[in-house]
Amino acid sequence: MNMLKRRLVWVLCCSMLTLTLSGCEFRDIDLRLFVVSIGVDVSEKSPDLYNFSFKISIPSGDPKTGEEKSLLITEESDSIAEAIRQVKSKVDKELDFGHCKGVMYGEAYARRDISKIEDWTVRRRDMQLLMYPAVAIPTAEEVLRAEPPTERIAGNAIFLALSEDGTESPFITRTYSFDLARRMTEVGEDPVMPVVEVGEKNVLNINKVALMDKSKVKVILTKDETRLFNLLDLRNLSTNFGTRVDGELIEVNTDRTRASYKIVTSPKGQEAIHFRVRIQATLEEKEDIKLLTPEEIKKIEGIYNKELSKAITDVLEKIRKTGRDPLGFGLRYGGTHWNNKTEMEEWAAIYPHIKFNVSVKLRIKSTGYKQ
Amino acid sequence: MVRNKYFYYLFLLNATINLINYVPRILIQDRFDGALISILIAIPIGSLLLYTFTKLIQKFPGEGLPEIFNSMMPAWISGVLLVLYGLGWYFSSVITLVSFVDITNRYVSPDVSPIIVLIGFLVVVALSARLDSESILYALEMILYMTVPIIMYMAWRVFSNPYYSWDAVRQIITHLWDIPNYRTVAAATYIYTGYINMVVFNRIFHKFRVKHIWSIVIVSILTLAVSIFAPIGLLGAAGAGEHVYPAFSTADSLRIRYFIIERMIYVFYVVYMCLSLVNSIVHWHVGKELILGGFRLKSDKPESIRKKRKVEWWVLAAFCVIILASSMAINQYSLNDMAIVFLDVRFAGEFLLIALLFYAVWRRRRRRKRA
Repeated sequence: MNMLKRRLVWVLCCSMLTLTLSGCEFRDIDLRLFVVSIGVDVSEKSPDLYNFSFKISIPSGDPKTGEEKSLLITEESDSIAEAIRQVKSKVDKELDFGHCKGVMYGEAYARRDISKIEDWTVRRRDMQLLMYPAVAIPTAEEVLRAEPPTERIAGNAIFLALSEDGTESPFITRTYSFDLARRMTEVGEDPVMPVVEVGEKNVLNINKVALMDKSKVKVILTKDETRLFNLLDLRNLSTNFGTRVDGELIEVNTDRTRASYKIVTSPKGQEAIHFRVRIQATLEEKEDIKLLTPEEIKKIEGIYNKELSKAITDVLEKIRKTGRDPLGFGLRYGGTHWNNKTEMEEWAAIYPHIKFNVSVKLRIKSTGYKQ
Repeated sequence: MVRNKYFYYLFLLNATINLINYVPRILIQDRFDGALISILIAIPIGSLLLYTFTKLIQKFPGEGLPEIFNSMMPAWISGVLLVLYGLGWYFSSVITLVSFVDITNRYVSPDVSPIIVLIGFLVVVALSARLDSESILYALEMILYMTVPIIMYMAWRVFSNPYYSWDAVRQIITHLWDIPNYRTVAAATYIYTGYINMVVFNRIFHKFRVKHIWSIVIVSILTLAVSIFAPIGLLGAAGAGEHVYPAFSTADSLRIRYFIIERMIYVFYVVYMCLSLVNSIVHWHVGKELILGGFRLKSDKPESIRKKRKVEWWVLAAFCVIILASSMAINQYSLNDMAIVFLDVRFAGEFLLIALLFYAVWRRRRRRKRA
């Protein structure tokens, strides 16, 4: 028993010793400044220089009071590592990137080549793979400077919008940096990023998606195209779709959506992608005050199916014309063909002339409280 | 005396720890060069090795490898063999601990010196490895009950993630018919290697029998599938090869929404820290017992127990010094090479062990006939 006690004391002493040793390099939370977002822009002075913006949150007592404070430091440099060291000499506390959740690529920069900074965000150990990358219009600095009045914690608004936690808009394409990194290296799948614009009164508007050629932005889709792209990309998009039946406006709200596709390669020369989109929806708005009968609902569904099929086909053809493959058709082709050496060349020959057969099945499940 | 269920725990421990010992990285490195076919080959080989070993060790109830070898071989041969096996088994924990220190520095606390982290680990491992075999098995059982459900939850989160790319997995599956190689087969059979711990723990098993070997096969197939496909789905068929620790990068890509912490990596880290420590404790215990057996130290008389205790401290001290020295000497690349060498040598060593056990069974039968 005595022996055991002595040994226990010894172990305790040892562990205390290690604690004190580790204490000398670790900085406490009140000695840290949290960088919450990073922005990258091209510099006007020289093509080799970039403007790096760091949005730093200043911790204050209670987030409920809404008295958030933040600091935006912009530094010009040719590498981000250098810029961070320059910022470090401008602040009094240690910079901490553990809570850095957004990386904004200014439009001019994103149209050039983002791979250098993207590689840095994946490589650096304290950066998460769960960051939200986005294209910023007009510049990353302006987007980071904007502080929407609804923001409670400094820099928080942009993450809430880009994540699934906050607003649930059908126009926001959600992506994470691991997803971006994956698509940038994957053969047969191209990256996408949401586009953040600064609107009037410091409101951030995110309703477009940028299609990228491995490392640079090629095309930015319009708002409606973005919604259809999101419908095809991920499941259960909650959105509205509007149409006119005999000149009267009808709007439905989608509950469940699901898109699946199949690549049909025969006959040769007439390859096609068969898209099936299934939507369950609820009637939300209607101009006509008459009560609806089941036959009329059938008719409305028919009109929707036709219109949406047409719209989706148009979007897919537009995407195909840009030569980009954000939905990963090429990867699917590679994953379903066993001739690994030649399959991607085959696909490159097929994709430019492939046809899209889209069949939309929209079902109105309920008409809401009223008939 | 312990019951047969502890054998399954020893298997499960090695199966789960493969993520730290570079198995996923080796599998993913060869994902376009026969990793899958190597896995398919490794499954029957690994299960057969495990099955044969359990059948052979059943012939020696209550005996460990030192007793078996010392009773049938000249002293110097059995001494050399036991010390080599002991060192080999200890080497496995060197890789686990050194890579886990590297992981700690990379993902959790970059500010703390790696030596201090390592000393913290070594204090726990060295002191616990001296406990008797029963206590170690009971501790192992408890740790597994706490960690395995969390591992299953994390695996479920990976495969149900909307960003999980099944097409990338299919792309890898179409690379099935490539030529397998020894290195990948050796890495994949690591999942089954937990049975080797029985060379020491067999001493305390009561009527050792293994039933339901199919359950071990199923668990091993699932483990291998998670090891290779979880990183490929989230980090991409091409992109998974870029990461130093694919399993950790995969965990970093997971987000827990309704929980106190937001990043899965912290949960993953704690779970794997527990498993790495308990795995090292088990391996040190086995390695130490084999080496002591190699020097023919027994614990039957009070006199010899005291002597064994003394030598034990020296062995453990040597273990600590080797790890400290190697952690200072090696870098990321040599650590990876070391892991590959270990996995390759271990695979060959397993065959040798089985052959030696066959020989032992044959010798013993002959001796019995003569008597």
